[in-house]
Amino acid sequence: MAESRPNRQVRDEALEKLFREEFSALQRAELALTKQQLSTAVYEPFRDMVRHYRRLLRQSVKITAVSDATQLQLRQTTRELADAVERVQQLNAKLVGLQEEKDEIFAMAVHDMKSPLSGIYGMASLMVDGTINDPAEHTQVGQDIRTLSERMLLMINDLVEIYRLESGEIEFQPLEVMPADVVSLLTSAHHATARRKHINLEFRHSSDVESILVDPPSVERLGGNLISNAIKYSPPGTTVTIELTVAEGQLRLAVSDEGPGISAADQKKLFRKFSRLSARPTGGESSSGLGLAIVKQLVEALQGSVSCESTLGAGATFRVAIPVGLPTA
Amino acid sequence: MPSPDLPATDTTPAVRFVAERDLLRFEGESYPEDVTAFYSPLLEWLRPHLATGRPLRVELAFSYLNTSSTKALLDLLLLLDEHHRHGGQVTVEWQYQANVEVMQEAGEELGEDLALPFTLVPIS
Repeated sequence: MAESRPNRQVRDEALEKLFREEFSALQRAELALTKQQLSTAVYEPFRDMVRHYRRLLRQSVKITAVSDATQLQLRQTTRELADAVERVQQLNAKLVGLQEEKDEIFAMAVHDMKSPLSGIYGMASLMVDGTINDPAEHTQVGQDIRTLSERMLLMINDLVEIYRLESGEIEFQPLEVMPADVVSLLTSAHHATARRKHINLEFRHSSDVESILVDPPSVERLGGNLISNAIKYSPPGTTVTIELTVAEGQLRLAVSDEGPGISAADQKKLFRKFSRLSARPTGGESSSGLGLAIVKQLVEALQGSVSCESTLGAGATFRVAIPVGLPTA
Repeated sequence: MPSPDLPATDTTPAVRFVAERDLLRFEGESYPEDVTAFYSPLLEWLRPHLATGRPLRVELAFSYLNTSSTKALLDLLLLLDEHHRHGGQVTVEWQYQANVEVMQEAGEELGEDLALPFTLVPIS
């Protein structure tokens, strides 16, 4: 970085002051030489010495100035280098952490997929080696194989999605939609499941604008995960309430259930990948353990927020808020 | 003039006089833009203090010195050496990080022409 002129002036003046005593000694010697009647033999060598001392003094000032400037630059470079090294170390630690997390996820995914795969292998073997001959049994085993394969597919799809979200590969394409459209987008897929489990779905929505700009697949994914979770963990005969509010440039979604609730300890690890929580699905549904982690990643990618309020034994409410755009008139 | 009690800044060392131990200690980096503005007041305090005849121990624990600071420090050391030559009780300790060879060499250079007790102390 080049030094500016005023700084250089300040520095030069400071250096003149630093050599003040040497300069004043020189001045006194020069004055004495002009006032005294000295012989040529004495005068000339002293005059030369004064001349050389003056030159040496000026050179000392310049050498000090150049040296100080060089050292300052070196100091700045050293600091920048130290900062850069620190940043690299932090990045490295982060990468090591990510690698460990990926290894852990890989191990858990393998573990979780091994069980259905073993089941599929076992059932397929029974069909191939002729242990099962009855067509009705074949159909039953085929259905079981399909259920187990679905579970694996669900997990693989969730894994792919979470990695795409983490790597920032997903691009959002906001479209103009009406809040009522968002409601039907969220509800249509869940009516049948809820009815099968005798769970009542209730929807409420309010909006301060007619239409908003959102990325429909993201909203569907967010809301879908929360609603299917609420249904999955709710006992029959209870109600799941979905409340959609569009206000102040935000889309807020609250999904409440009357399920077993989530303990404080479980709430802390709720949004982590493959969290093993105490609650179990009430209808034998499968879970990849990634749904809420996907919700969190997606919400963060959309610059929104997600939270959970729950008391053990008294249901749970998940709240999501994401910023939405408004269509230009 | 009050005794020095200056905290370290980005470009100047901490300077503190501990009266009960007759200790003047410099610690940190020194590369101020105006070196005279920083060191002159210290010399102005030092001259009358030396005149009181009290013993003085000076600890120099610099981690970095630029050239003009070295010149200012040499002026200060010459003042202390002059005091010593006139019978004053003064000692100087140059403390440096044991693994920083350049600061050891700086201490050796600074102490070379001095008559006062000047010791080099590596700090690990």
